[in-house]
Order: sequence, then structure tokens, then C-alpha cells
Amino acid sequence: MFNRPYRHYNRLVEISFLIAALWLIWLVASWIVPGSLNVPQPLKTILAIVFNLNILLAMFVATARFMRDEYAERIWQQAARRFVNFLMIGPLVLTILIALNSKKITAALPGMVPPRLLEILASENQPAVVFFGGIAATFLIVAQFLPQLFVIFYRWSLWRDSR
Amino acid sequence: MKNQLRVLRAQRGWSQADLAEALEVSRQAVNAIETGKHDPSLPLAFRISRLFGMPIQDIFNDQAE
Repeated sequence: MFNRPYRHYNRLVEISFLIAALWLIWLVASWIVPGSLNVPQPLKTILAIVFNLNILLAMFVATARFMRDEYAERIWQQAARRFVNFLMIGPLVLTILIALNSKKITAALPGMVPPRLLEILASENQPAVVFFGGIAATFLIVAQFLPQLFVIFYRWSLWRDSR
Repeated sequence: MKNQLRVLRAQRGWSQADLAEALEVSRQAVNAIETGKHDPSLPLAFRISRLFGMPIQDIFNDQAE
């Protein structure tokens, strides 16, 4: 691994990407149809371990500069540029889309309340909820979602470059 | 940037993996250079030049010329 590490970089990205894709599919499927992905407990435990280990793997490949050769570094820079663009624009676009479609979302997904971000930001009575909820949400997003999302962006950039 | 890397490699009977090993880059990097998707850095271009024993300008062709 540490002898000529560039040999293994793309392989690690592939592994992380596949697990991240599976995780996202699992997540979305379980949101859309709750209970649709009931699997035996031992398998559920294994998947949970794999998904959580992939968080560490994604963090590693996103930051392991020493493993990248110059081509991988160029792909990384492309992925980083796309990733930052997404982070800047994505939340606003997502919030607007959810706000515009909140009735449809509620009708299509009974029991699922669309987030009311603007209401939370405007609230004067829930500073503690917003503060602690904000920390928890930030941790979840930063620790779980972003590294794996970056791996997906990297793999997509590699795919775009190969065409 | 066009280059003669694929031809030079084939003349020597090397695979992309062989060339990658000699240049100390990944096979994907060799493939990207051969297909013109990636222009190598100057240090890598010099390594390629030394490996094939040819001047850089005989391997890489700047289409602007």
C-alpha cells in the first residue's frame, strides 16, 4: 500500500464509491418506502459496519494527497471545483425546490414533514433547539455525508474525463 | 496535446501497466496521457523523454505549431 501508493488510489476510490452509492440508494429507498428494505439483523449489522467504515475510507481518500499521482491530483481538483460549486448552490436550490413542492411532498409521503428552514431561521423562541439541532445536523452532514459525496464527485469527474 | 507515447510503447512491446511502473504513475495516468486527456507535467515529460531516449519535442506535438 505505501510502496507506490498511487497504484491503489483509484481502487480505494472505486470501493468507497460503490459503498457510498449503495448507502445512498439504501437511504433514499428507506425514506420513500419505509420498511421496504427489511433485512435479517446480522446482515443489517454488517451493512451498518461497512457503511460506517466507508465514512472513514471516504475521508481518507479525499485527504490522502500522498496517494495521488499528478493525473489523480488533476481529477481531484476537478472534483473539488464541482464539489464546492455544489456546496455553494445546492442548499439554496434544494430549499427552494422543497419550499415550492412542500404540498406535493407531504401528499406523496404521508407522515413526512418537509423541513421548514426559513421558519426555523426566523424563530425567536427556539434558540436552544436550533443550536443543538444545528450541531447534530452539522455533525451528521459533515461526518457522514460530505466525504462520501466527495468520492462520488471524484468518480464522476474520472468518468467525465475518460469520455 | 498529441503524442507518440502509444506508438513508442507498442514498439517496445510494453503494456500500459509496464510503462506506468517505469514512470512511477498509475496506469490510468498513462492512458490519459496517451489519449490526450492529460498533458504531463514537465518533470514527467522529462522522465518519459529519458525512458525512450528521445527529445521531448519528438514525443509530444504541440498542435499550435
